[in-house]
Amino acid sequence: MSANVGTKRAGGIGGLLDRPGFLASLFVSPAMLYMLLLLGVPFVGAIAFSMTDLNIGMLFNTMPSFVGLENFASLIDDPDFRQALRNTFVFAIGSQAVAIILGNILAQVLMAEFRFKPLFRVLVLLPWATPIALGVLGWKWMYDSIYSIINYNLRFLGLLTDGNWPIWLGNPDLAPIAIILVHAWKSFPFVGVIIVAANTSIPRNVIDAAKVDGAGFFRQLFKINLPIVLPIVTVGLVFGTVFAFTDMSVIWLLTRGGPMNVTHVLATLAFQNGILSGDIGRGSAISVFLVPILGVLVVMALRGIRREA
Amino acid sequence: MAHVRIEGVTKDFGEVKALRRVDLEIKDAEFLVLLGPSGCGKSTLMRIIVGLETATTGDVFIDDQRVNDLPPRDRNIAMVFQDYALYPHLKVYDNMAFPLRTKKVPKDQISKKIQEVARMFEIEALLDRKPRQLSGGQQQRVALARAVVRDPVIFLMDEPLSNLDAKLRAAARDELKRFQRDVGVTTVFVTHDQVEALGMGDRIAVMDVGSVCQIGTPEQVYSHPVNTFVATFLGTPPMNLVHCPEHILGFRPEHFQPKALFESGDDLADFQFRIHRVEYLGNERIVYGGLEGTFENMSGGELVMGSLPDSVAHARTLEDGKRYEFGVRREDLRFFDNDTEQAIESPSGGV
Amino acid sequence: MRRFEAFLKRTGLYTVVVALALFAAFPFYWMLMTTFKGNKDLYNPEVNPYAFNPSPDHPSPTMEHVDYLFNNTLFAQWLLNTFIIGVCVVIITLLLAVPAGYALSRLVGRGSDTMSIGIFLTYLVPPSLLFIPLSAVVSRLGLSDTYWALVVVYPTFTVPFCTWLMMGFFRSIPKGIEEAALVDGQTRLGAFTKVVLPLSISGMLTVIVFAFTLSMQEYVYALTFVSSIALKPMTLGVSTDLIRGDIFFWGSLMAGALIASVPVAIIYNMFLDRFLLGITGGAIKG
Repeated sequence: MSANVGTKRAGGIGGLLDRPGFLASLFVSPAMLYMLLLLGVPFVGAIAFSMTDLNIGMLFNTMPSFVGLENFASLIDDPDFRQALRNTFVFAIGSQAVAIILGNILAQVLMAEFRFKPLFRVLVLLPWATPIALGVLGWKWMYDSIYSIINYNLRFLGLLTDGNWPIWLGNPDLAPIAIILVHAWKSFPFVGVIIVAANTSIPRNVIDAAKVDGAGFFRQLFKINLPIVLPIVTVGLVFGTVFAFTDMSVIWLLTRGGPMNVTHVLATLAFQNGILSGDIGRGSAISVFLVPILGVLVVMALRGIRREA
Repeated sequence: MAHVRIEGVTKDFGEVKALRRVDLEIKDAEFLVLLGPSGCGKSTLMRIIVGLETATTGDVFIDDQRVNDLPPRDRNIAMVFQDYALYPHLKVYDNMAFPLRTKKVPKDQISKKIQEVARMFEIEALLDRKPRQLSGGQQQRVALARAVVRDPVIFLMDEPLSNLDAKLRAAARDELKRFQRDVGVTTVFVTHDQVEALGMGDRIAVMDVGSVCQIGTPEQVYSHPVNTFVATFLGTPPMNLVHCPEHILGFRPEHFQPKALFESGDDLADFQFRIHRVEYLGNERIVYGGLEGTFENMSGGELVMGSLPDSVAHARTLEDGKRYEFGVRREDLRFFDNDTEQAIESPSGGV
Repeated sequence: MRRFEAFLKRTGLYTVVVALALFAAFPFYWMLMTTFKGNKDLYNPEVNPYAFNPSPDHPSPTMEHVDYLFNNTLFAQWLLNTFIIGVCVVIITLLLAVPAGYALSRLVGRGSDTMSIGIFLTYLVPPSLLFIPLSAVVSRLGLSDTYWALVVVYPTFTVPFCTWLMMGFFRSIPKGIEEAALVDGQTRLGAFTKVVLPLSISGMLTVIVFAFTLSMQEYVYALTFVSSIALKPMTLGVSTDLIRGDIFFWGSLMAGALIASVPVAIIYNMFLDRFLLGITGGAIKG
């Protein structure tokens, strides 16, 4: 009796779909193409634009001219730009530092047992779980120059002397603090949650083995907890730091970079120049300054991942 | 009902040579066992037969038709996976119907066929259940049923019994073998369990590191192993191997008996054997010990094992630490080359 | 001494708990209060802000801000816009990320680690770097001042993570089941659609939720690409169009902000554990 084996030859559409390589490429290419076109190309575009004198009027009817590093030179001479560059670092590092501290405390709390813990969890995650623009609006109202509830509380607690009414967003010295506070507020829940998740991912039997081996609290912390926890936390932190360095929403909504350009960061300055004023070349140059920063963060992130691999 | 021919097949995964030159013929309606330790390539070979892998070189013929480039679905082969691979989201009925629906078999025929096969495997009551609601043994029967329902010309089974607990396994072995005999489908059965292989195979292909060492009936591979690997892989406890200056001497523990138990006319090789330990296993006793004195210029001190059934009264008198006279029938001795470890004829000249 | 120590620890813990909760949630509480306070009460620095202080012609609490929001502004339209954008982005994300996730999980054996890292890296290229060149792309495509620009651009931040989510998810489906389907007569495509996809509904649900909430929250691209009031998504509309000149309609602003935040917060809370599993589980198993 014949085997009745199919006599179809591999080939044609059916056969093509059978070759694993073909189907894989077919499945992956839409996503790759999309990311290339909408992420890769604009990324290269930003760098290219930064070296031209392109502005919005010229778009699609005149060719921009190559100006080399002129944009960059003029930026470095601009005190507003230098301020923005400083701010980018100060705000990001400041807010992340606060977020790490608060996040750690939060993590410790989340790993403890207490009443109403589920309610606490919901409340404490609100900054992370709500759209950033909307939460920031709430803060803007809280910082209002006349009706600030924060000031009201401070006065109520006796921490404000009479006649002293901080104008949070209008005072060049206070505005940065206000901004850092909001950034930290937004970031710390995620940091806390990541630390908890990382800690709970330590396999139980590893901890038990350490206990049996007689490891004390600190030894356990450094030799066991930290090496396992650190990579995951690093990844989480890198994301938070990227957000802090590149965020536009918080500052734009709170101060638009003011008062007097004092609170601009690279992202908001780029927006103001590149989109609002239409100076694409200059705006791109400003955002390009973000690239080396991101590069460093990427390296740190990769190290974090590799260490855990 | 098909015969399979594998000619010169090799398989490389990058640097790793999973199969080095396999030549094999599987007869129509035969139950062939691919036996070997993990990593020997038996599963790879089977996957090449079914079409889930393609051979790097060489050809696979099913009924004289070259099938190298045919995808699995065109080969009319059914496969039972080690973990059964039942579709978790489908009921048993739909699991069995799946291959038939794929082939666009008309609905009423599907229903008839499924009822028929379900009866054969006694799973009619399970048709409405989902795989996760079944026990291990039930899942295995469903996996088999799903394979059978397609009327394939070849069955491939990848260690289908290894997930069953020991009690079920013996019964399942029996059912499976009888079923195959009744239906008469060519079957290739992969296992690392040599007891299973000996018990079920019409022929056994013993594999190691990517090639077939020996292929033959259970008696052939057990009694006349072609090298030391086959010799020690089959049989529990494994064949004793004694290293002599000119060759390796082999004899099975069940052939290694106290001299007193042999008949006077037997042509024996004599050994002085000091027992270190007697192990009682219920149906048999294993004696561990060392050979003393000389036999064929060997220096002595080699550790060997003997196995005596409990039914032998003399076995109960053996004690630790004592020296006894043991023997092996010369016809039961096997010899292997010292360097190649291949079987050789009994050496000429003076034994 | 032990009991006292324990008591101190307990008090300390609860103090921290309350402090953190206050810090995190107070803005929302204040937003809530503001939503329902009549203007006379709201803009009166003399009275106690934590209480409702009605006056004869101005009730407090009041629904006037919410009313205003729904009847005198395009808030409802903004919500609709956000919804439409969200749905479209989800569809695009599914179409791109599910097959890609499958391909990366199954058919490309090695190099999948490189892929994961690649995916991770795309998140380090932020909108504030891309929005300038993207605005050129958007103009070119004739999508300026439409919300379709957002539909086109938002998948840049949903697709990578969702691909990665699906990758991990597909990996958990045993290869044997797919192979059984192949042996049972399916093509690879058939095995994918008939066996793998039905088993991945849970993963796809996570993708849907994640993509939808991400696109609901976005602000920067919206700000860059959309200027017509009627076309704005809710995050943008609430922050820019509840202002006349430089007078902020705080009551309605807070109402809008709160209403727009609630659905996202609820969804995030429901799915928090899943997201975390996706992030850390993927990181651990690599």
